[in-house]
Amino acid sequence: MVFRLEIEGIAKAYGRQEVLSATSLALAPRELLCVLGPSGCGKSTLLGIVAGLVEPSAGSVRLDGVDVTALPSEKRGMPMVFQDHLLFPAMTAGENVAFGLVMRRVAREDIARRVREALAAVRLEGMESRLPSELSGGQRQRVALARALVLRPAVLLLDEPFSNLDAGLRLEMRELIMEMRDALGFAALVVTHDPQEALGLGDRVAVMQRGAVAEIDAPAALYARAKTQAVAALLGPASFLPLTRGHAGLRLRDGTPVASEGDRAGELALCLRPEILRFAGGRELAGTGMSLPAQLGKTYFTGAKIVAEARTTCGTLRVDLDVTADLEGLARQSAVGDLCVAWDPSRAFVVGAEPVVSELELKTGAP
Amino acid sequence: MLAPAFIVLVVLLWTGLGIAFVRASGVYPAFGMVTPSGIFWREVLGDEAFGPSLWLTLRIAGLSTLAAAGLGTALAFLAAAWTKPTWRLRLLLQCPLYLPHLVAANVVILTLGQSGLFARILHLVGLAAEPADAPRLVYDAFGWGSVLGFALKETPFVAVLVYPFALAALATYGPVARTLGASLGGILRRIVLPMSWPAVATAAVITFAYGFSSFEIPSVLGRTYPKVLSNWAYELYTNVEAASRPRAMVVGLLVVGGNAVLAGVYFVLAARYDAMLTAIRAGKTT
Amino acid sequence: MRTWRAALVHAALAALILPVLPLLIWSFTEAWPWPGLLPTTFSLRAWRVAADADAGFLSGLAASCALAAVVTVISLAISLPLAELLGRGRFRGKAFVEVLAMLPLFIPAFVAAMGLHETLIHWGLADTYAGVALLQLVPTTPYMVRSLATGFALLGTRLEDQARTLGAGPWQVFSRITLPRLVPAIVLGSTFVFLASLGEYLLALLVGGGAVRTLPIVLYPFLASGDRAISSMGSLLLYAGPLVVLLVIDLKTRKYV
Repeated sequence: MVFRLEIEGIAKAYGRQEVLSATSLALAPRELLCVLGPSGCGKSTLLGIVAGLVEPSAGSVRLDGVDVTALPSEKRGMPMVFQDHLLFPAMTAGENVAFGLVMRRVAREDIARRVREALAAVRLEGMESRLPSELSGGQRQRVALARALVLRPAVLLLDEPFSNLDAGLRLEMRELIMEMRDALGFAALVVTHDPQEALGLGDRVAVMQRGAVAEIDAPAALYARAKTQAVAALLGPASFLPLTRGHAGLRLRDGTPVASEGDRAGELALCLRPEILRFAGGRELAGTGMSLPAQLGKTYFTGAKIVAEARTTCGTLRVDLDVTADLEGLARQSAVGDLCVAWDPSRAFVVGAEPVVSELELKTGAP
Repeated sequence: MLAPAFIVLVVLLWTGLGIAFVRASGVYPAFGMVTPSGIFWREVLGDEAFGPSLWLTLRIAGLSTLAAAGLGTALAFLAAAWTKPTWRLRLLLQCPLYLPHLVAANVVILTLGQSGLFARILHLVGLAAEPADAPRLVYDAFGWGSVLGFALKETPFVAVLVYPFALAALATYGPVARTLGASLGGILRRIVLPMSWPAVATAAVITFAYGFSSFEIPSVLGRTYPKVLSNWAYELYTNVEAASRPRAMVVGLLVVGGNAVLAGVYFVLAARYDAMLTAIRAGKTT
Repeated sequence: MRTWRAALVHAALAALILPVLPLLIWSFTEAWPWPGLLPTTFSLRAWRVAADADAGFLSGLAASCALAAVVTVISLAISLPLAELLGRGRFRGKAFVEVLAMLPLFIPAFVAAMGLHETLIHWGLADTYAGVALLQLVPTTPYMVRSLATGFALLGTRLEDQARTLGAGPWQVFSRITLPRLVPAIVLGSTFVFLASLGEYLLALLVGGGAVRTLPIVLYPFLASGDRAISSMGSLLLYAGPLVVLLVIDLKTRKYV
């Protein structure tokens, strides 16, 4: 496999404070790789090193097989789009887009044509002479994207590119980037703290924690089969039931055996995403996958769905209910001890349960 | 609570100027003059010293402003690009900033006078056998001494005003410009300079106004004729002849008028200075 | 690479202050004949003059410092209310008030002093330190107002609001919350005002009429007469002493920034 961008053993320390430890990643041609992590995990430092804005303490960066570690940023040809659009305020949209071409001393008539094309590609035809102050937030970010893409980069770097946009624009920008990738064929390294964005945009997602890549995989695989509790929690809401290791494999705390694929050393837990869980009456359940007797705990209305707690002897689970769910019926069943929480065992997975507490985990993890 | 500030900033200043205007217009009871007339304005404007004095004043203010703005901006840019904002840098910027005008004048005499250090270095390299061979930079007709004295005093002032802009612009826009392929020179010229113009212009207007009205440096380093306007006003004011006091007021008010125009320019620029600096720091210049 | 560039910038900045060195050399010599790059004699005459009470240099320095201190304190006191209004207030005509407050920076105060001279005589303020202080307040106070207004604007009002909700009265809020956080702005404004007053010559001359003997007044004749040892000594007194004190204050208050 030929890689566009190879990051090998990159480390960075500020004095004794190590923010990045021997990190390696590689981007295939046309690949969108999202680096996801909580703030302070070192993802922005990694991007800075790739861009040539931060000097690494160790390791190398190769672009199309050429070592560029010692090359200053301006000679690497890897434009970056930042969180704040950072359009040069005194220049028009057209001049902003032309900036990199001017720096490269491209002939003037070529510049004019390429700027027009780039603006058209991000659907900003005829906006060339607008100043950044005369553009909307989404338009500014599209100009910033055009300003990078007009250079026809092999690799594009994006640092939290949508986090200052509102939800609708985010989706639009995400689609635009994927569309442009299909049209222009660049590879992109995207840093984000938003799991939705990483899962929705990336061909692969690398989750970073405490200065290192914890896991990397395709979005669906990572979401459904994360290897550690921290990564699973980071990617979306989940409940974790502690597992014990018996003679016949892994068991829940009450002795219920679980499929022991994924058995490995260390403390383990069973990860259950709320959308795979459902409530059911105890009697109708015999032989339909896994189930545990449960009590209905607190319920929260969140708009699109109802989030409910299911208290079992093995731990508390978060269950997503349809807004039309009969909460009173469930409460009655729960009161007479006739309630179970059930799931399809093929969609549950075993994770390493080393205790990790991060800000994001608290925000997106199980209630 | 606001009354004391009002008295100092408004009442004192404008009453003083008002009285000066009345005196300049020929009403000076202490000298037995009671009838308003424009004679003193006509006398001053028609005085053969007026043209040379105004020209000298403009020359000194203009050239020192040009030098200070150019040097100060360059220093601020280089300091922002090549150093970190340490206390040592602050120290180096502030020491010359605090130079009193009289001391700056003295420094100019000792370094650039015909027997000063510069002349001695010229002698060392064989360019001046006698002090008289060295270029006459102090007490000269052109006003070079004052130009250089003001430039010495105002260059760090310009640098101090421009530095935060350059620093903020580089910190905010430097990285993205570099990933787009801009070298440091390109960034300074195409991004930092256009963003710093409110600071450069503000500093230049203040510098020019000071050069236009300041007394001490040209008083020490200048000739007896022509004098800069403020020196001329003082000379007239201390003259024993009764009619020269109203003329002193006229000359003083001409300086006031010039600076009032500059103040107008300053207020337009100053509004942009603050807004722009905040915006650049936040990366939200739009 | 970075280090030599930083050194270059530092050297360029140092070059602006280097011309002060001849002052130091001159103050310790009597004769520095052409074309020597260094003087031929060492002499303490200038510094003996400095120590001589009759020459008026030490008393001039003391008078200048006292005058500057008084001007600074009064300027601070009268600027605080105005600066808070300009830094935090939103009201119609704010731009106009700002212009009025800043104009004295540009309008040469000596013209107003000429106009006010008879009034000052009438009030008994001519030829007094009080009169000089009053007139020096005019061109220096705008510096203070501007520094403090910027300080107030940067502070915002959120901490104050918080303290009010926790039961602090207006004075407690000002003395415990606002004032400590305003220290950098106060130091900045005070430094400017103090130095402007300290080195000020023309108003001290016009209003002081020879009775006021600040250091610039004492120094000026020596600049004109060409006694370089004395004028250099006087220049150093006027520049270096206060500078060291102010830099120490700057260093000590930096932690608030």
